[in-house]
Amino acid sequence: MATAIDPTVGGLPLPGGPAPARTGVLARVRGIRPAVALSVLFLAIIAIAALVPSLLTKGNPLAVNLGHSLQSPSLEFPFGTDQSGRSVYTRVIYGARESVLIGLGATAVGLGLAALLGVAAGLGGKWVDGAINRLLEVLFSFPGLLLALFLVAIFGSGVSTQIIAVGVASAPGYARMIRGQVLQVKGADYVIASRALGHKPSRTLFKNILPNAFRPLVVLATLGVGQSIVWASALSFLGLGVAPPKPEWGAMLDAGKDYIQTAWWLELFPGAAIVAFTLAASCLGRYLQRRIEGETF
Amino acid sequence: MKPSLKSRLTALAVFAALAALTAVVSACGGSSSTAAPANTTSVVGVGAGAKKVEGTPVKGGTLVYGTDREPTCLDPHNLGDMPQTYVARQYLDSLVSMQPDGTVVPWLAEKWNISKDGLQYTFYLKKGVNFTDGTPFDAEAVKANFEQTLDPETQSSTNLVYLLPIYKGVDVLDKYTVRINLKRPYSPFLDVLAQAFFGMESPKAMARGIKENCVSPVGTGPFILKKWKKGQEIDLVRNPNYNSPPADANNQGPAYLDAITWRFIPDPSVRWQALQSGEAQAIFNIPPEDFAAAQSDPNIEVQQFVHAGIGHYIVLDNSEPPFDDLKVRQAFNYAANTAAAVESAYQGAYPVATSAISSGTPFYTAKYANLYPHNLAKAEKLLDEAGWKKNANGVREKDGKQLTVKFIYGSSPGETPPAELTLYQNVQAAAKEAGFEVTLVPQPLAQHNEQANIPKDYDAEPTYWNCPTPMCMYIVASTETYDSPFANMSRIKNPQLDQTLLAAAATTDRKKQAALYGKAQQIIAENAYWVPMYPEQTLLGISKKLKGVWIEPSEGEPILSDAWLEG
Repeated sequence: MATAIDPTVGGLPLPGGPAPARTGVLARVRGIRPAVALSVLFLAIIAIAALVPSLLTKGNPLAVNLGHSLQSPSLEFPFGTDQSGRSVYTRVIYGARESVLIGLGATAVGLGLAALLGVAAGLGGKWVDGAINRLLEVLFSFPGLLLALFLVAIFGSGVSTQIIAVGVASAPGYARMIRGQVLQVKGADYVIASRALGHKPSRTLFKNILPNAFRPLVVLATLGVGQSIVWASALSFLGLGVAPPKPEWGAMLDAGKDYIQTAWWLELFPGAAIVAFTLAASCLGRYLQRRIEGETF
Repeated sequence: MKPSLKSRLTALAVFAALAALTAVVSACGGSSSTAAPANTTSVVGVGAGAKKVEGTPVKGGTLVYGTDREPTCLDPHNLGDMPQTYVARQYLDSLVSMQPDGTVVPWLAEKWNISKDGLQYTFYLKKGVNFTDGTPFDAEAVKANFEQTLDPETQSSTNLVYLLPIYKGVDVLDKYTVRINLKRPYSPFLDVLAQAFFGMESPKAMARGIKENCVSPVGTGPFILKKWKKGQEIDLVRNPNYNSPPADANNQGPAYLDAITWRFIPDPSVRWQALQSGEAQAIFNIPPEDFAAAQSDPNIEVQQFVHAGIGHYIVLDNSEPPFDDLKVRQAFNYAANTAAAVESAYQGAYPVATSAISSGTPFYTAKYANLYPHNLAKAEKLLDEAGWKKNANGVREKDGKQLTVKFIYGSSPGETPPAELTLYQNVQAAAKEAGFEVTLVPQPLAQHNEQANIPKDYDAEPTYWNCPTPMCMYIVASTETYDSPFANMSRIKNPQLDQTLLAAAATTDRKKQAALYGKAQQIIAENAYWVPMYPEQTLLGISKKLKGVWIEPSEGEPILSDAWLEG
């Protein structure tokens, strides 16, 4: 009789993930580090901006005031004003909603698609695996941004296209990882044990394989949100994103790029928002990664 | 920011002399020439014309000319987009050349006659001119050019709309004499032919078919098209045998420059940096945000040209609600606050337009300009009268329909610069105050080119029409051009306007023309058919090392055959 195996103990670290640092400075720092705390704080602010922007600013992001155009940062306009005299601060705050929506949406689409493809490839047998792998190779041969551009060209620009475009473009990378996870988990002792115990295949799939294969996805998702925002901003920067006058960080960068020599604040603040958000999301993602891999407690 | 009065007067003085020359030359033709007489009160564009230059021209060197948009076809008989005419002027010659005072001078045509009824134009051609592929330029070549120009296959939104309604046929009278017959009189005919859109091309090259000719058209001009590196640049080299410059060129021989690199730099700030760093010696359209810096830079000369024609305007779809209602159109004009919108977007680099035609167009009158200064109260009152009532969100409604305006524009790189986008958003915000819900709809170029001509797909869209004559009001507002692409996009049908403009084209009497063109401007303004924004401009930024560049007035084409590089 085999000893009982707790399925939740299984799971493997992400292939290719950073090597856990057990020694040195990091090992001495227990608990939540300041960078993580800062990240959580910043993400909380962004969450407020995305959900109830009026808590952070009394202004209207669309209020054109031609008498105030291109003013440098001041007490009244902390981030200055744009060409139409709109407050850049207000627009960065209100821009959070579109930017975060695109980031989360695209990551969800990307991971969803990837989960379908990855699990099917991992469990579907030789033919299905082969077909999906070829498909992924074809998708890989396009640079992600190009694939996104292609989809925007077909469906036209807009938030939903941006979400789908960035999501689809990021799916092949995730799909590969999920397939790898599924294959590894499938061969793990606890799955073999579960089968040997005579459990139904569906039970083995839902209780053993999927939970363990998907565990690293929590981390991937956090890291992915930041990446998606950068990609979506790139699309907006190319004029293929959110239609004006809606504020969105990438679109704001695009609108201000010709003024970089005369009105630096048009570029600095939306650019800083993208960088800070991506850094915070990545920092939190890596923290979660270490937690899940059992490196910190 | 208008060019100084002094520079305008200098240009006019230079051309008074040339105008006198024209009168003499055209008198040689024997019969009464109706080439527009010199008229100092009427100019074509502002800021154009050859200038007296100091210094001795130096031969040699390669000029890098940075420009914004890349043409999709280098044969300007096709399509009819502005970037084509700018580059084509470097390798094509036209029959006549236009002066800032509205007259034309000889070019490939040495002289010409116009019949009394205005229906026959006989051109006597320069002899001994060859296309750069060796084909001789003669009457047969002119015939082949008119025939290609009128081929619907060219899909020209320029040549076809000018010529198709008036063209009857061409007769080759002898090797160097050719007669163009018109269906009806068209007094601006010579002005129209001055544009590089009507440049003369080698019949042998044209016979290769449109597709091939688009890539490598052949002319008689001062430069030869050597290579088109798509997405990058066009390489032009000097035509060493050039012997057909227009009468108004300073340089009556081959060009001074060895070559021109016609480089595409769609990003305005990158283009500006290319000029500052010396990577380019001349750039087309200094970005408005850097215009002040360019003017104060001691190493840079700024040439500012205001085009003749219909300046940038917002097309309103007159054929469907909501803009089929005069009151709604007037309300939109009152509400748009274009003066402040243009000022904020272009920071003073562009003047504001308030009339049907640009202030640089012959027979422009200020009498019907500025009929709709910003006036929110009037806009609200007109909308109330028209039955549009404001709802809780401040958007007007009528019979359960919201007062929405679908405003489409091209969003491909280089199509809509940020300043232009600022302008639309300013108008959008201003119109909102009166209760218009304007939706800006960016479209990739291919989609936009299609939808721009389908009224049910837009309520408003921006456009402009550069042309050397007020007669282009007929192109953008006549029943005859109602279905032509990129012509009557506002979908205007007004028999009174048609008749007024046809009468203006039928007379060569300048007083009558002034009255008729004035009336046409009145009709368009009073009907608020569209929203004028600002006149099209050519803003050349030129390194002080590059001398002798000037802008011709018919389309604002840069003249580089007179230019040389120093040091």
